[in-house]
Amino acid sequence: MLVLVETNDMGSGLLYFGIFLAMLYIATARVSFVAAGLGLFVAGGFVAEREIGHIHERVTIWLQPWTTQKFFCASTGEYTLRQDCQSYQIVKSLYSIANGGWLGTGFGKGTFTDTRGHNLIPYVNTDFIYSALAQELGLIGSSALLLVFMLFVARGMKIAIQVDDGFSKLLAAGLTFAFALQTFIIVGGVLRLIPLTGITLPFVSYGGSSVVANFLVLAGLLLVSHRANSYA
Amino acid sequence: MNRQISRVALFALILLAALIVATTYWQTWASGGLAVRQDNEIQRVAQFEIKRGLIYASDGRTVLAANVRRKKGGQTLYFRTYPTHGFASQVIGYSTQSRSRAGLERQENSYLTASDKNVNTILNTLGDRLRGATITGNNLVLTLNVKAQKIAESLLAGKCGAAVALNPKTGAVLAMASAPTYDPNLIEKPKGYARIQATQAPCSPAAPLLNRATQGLYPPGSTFKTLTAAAALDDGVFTQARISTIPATARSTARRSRTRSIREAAPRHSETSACSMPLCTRSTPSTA
Repeated sequence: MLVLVETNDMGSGLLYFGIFLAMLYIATARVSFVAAGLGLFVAGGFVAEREIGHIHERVTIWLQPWTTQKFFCASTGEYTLRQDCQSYQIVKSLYSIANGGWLGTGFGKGTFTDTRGHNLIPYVNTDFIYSALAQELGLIGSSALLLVFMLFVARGMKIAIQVDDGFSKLLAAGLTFAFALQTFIIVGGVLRLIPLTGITLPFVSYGGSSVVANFLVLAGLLLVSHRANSYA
Repeated sequence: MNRQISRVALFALILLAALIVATTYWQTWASGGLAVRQDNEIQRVAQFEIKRGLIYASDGRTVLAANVRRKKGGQTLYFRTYPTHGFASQVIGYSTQSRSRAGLERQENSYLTASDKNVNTILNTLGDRLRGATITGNNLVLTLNVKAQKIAESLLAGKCGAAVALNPKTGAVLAMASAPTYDPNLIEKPKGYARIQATQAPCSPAAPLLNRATQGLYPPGSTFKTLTAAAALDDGVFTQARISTIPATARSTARRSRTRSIREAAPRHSETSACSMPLCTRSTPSTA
């Protein structure tokens, strides 16, 4: 955890903490542990928001990405509107999503660069892959993707319920919940549902290690599933 | 343990369902508001992904506005070029990145970009979208006659002013020239706009971008008398032969100068005197 705080990797921190709480609840069945964990999370988040500049900025961007007043922009050293500096990424990402509409622009037909060929959305292949996807596939396509993710989660949890031994149950439920939470943290961030933290979207983001890790999750689930079926 | 797993599963599914709800919000309710925001470049770029319709003169062959295709960062963009270089510039206008649009390019933008509400356009555009093809706008054929326009422009060369020729039966504009003029291809060139602004002309400001035929403010002069004369003749109260002396009829409302009266000179003695009724021709002199 300290490593994650030190490297400003709040997304991963949140992810591990969430998985930890879920596993704790499944193993012990005590709601009080979850309540205590959430209480600690709220307290920790509150302190972090006040004390850590990086976190404070993320929360500010989340609450008010658009301003009509100019603020100091550290990266350019000038006073600019917040949407032109700190919240540039999230704002461009929302514009991209909004441009998709119901049906989207079509595969490969989205607009991601300006007329000179510069990228409009930074990290569009990794953290912001969802905003690209939502623009090209529209509401129908992106909802379909999320429904597939929901199906994945439902199947994963079903495996956890079907299998008999405790370790397999914890493994399957934990892997599945990690998958769901990771999706929620990054897509929720991109959609301004929660403050944005950069992590990858499982099976969609570009990047070798993320894909390999997600296939390991899948392999783990399949193993547990195989075991459940062979006992039955 | 299964009860807890079910609960965690439900929670995970709710989290993902919340994402669908949020996506729906941004792509439907909030979409219009975001599209028109000043710092949203997507619409500005997307308009160049459309192959704009061409603009033709009345002969249907002379292309007045065409497209050049350029590949930029993995996407194909279409920019305007004007092959006739300054022919009816103020009428056609321009469609550029740096200075948006003007003239017919602005007026007919939705038609040229296939975003108007015409059923044919909607079906064609839908077809293009489904096939994944480049969206192609509708072509525009003007009533401008190349010859008439050339004559009007050559007559105005080196002067400041406007000339318009209409087909009185249909109202079709056959020629509409405004001088000084400019080359719309210059606008996107570096310093091109400054060069247009620096156009030399016998009037100040030269304002080559101004369509003097439609936007110039000039006193109508005696041209309006056509209407009053036509109405008078139509009524039957006046005949072509009748001469009427019109007394001072108008007073200037300008406060700073002394009140002036305007005296209409009726043609009385001479055939060559100014004719206050444009319908009377010089070949039918009045009863002297």
